[in-house]
Amino acid sequence: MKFPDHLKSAHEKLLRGTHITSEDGPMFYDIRDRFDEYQSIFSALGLSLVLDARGFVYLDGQDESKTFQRIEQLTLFTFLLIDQMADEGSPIFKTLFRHDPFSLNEVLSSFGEARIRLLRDCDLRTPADWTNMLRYGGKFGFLQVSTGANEFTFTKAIHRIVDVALNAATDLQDAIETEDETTEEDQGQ
Amino acid sequence: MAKRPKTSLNALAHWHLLFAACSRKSSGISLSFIREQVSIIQPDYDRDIRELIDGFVDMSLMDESPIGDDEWTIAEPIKNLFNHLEGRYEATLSGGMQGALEDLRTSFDLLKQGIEGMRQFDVEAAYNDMLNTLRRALYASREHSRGIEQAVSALKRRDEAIRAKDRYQKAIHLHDYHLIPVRGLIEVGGPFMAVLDALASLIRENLDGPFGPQLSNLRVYASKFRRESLENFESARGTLMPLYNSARKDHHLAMCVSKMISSYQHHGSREWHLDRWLKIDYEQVEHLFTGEAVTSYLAQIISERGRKADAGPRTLISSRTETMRKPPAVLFASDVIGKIRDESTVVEDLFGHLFDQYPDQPEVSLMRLYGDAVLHSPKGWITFSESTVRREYRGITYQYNPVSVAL
Repeated sequence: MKFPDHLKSAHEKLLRGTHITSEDGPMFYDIRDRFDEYQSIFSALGLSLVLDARGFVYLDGQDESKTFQRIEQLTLFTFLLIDQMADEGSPIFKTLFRHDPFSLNEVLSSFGEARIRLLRDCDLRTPADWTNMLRYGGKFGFLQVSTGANEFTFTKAIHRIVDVALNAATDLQDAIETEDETTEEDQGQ
Repeated sequence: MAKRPKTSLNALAHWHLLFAACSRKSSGISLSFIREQVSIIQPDYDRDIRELIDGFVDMSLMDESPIGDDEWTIAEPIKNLFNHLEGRYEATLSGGMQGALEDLRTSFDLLKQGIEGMRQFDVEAAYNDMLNTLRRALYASREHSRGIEQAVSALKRRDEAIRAKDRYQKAIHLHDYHLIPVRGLIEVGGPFMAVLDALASLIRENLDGPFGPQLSNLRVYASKFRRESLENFESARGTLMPLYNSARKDHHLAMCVSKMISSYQHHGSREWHLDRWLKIDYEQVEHLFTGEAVTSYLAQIISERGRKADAGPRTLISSRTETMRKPPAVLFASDVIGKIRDESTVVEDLFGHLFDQYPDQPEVSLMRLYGDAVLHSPKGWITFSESTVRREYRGITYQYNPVSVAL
């Protein structure tokens, strides 16, 4: 009986919520190239393994109860960074996946008061909070974080957070339009 | 111009629209044409037009035509300058090609009529016009392509500090107002190619006639225009489209993110629905079982399948294997707690209870159920024992503090 080479280590990582990305090298490519085998094995374990063509794999959550404050913080931080890039006119996707690491201090100092206030609202107040957020981002495989957690790069898995914006914003727009229609109907009556 | 450069330049600047109009003419410029242009450009000009023209000749801006008294030509350097400026200006408006198309149609009609009527002079004039128009159109095509490439380069270099939205608007402008109209002109079946097809047909029918040399030359230029205008367009398209596509994606993302941030300002993360869009399967470290447990469990499955399967080499388990064990139904912590409550069962050790009650569930599911049940049970329903126990389930020894459930 021969299991895929990276089964044990991949299983341990994935079960901790980590996204395995192309940045992880051989482990990711082994899963990608033998995905049917990996998927069957995980399926036998009652787990749903997902391969995203953009370069990452993860275990799809089976219930909707698990969200984490750190993930919410990382999501907000990522959105604010994208917003900042848009203001600067930087090519967003290209900059997001650049090889040069982002410096946490430089990012925060470019954010301005309004964005920093939003981070505070999300319980990101101290340098320790910020570095912990980055470390969690690294733990879940969304970021590669330097030893001192003062520099980071995004992995391909950040697409999942980007997708949150693309998907949820459509819902938000629908909700706004429905709200507007209801208001107009109310006013008409 | 060398005699009084300052006066010449002033005159050129003042009458630039007249020189631009004259530069567009491929043949000599008549007195009536200049008079008409002056009346359009400066309707209140009341001096003698001949004096004005003499002044231009004196300043070397115009030359007397060798053909006749009442005809002039624009001095060659001035003509080149205006053609260049005209080309650049029209390139930026994507109009150079359109203007050339109109002239090409007119010249073609003249050429056709000249050939049919066997009028040497008309054919010569139409031939010259058409040749110049094709050169001008090709020039406009090159400048158009170069203009787009320069604009894309400037956007990429980020010479101007502009927002993603403005960057996108500029890319849209280049795409919609510069690239697409030119494609419409030069694509197969487009108006340019329609004129060139008609010209090709005319040339084929009359190549052996008295105008053969001119027509043959025209065929070379028409073919050159066909080839190079498409190459220029493809070059511009190849430069612009990646930027256009990335700017469109960036802009869409920026708009969505802006909405999400705005929503966060008013409602927090509630409307982000992270629980729907960003589900993450996650187990606490103490709930994880080892890699050995995985392989052991899988070995059981494969062994069982091996017993049932027909004789033959054992293959690795796969979704295509008919004898693969069907994954058990997914259980939720609420089901487990509900069952315990419904049956009023006293559970001293929830962990052991799960292994006893749900033998068909894989260990990892039991771990998840255990974690969820402990985390989500109402306060007071569960109690942790202070003493640690070591127990073996399915061949694996676990060390833990038992949890009792009192409903």
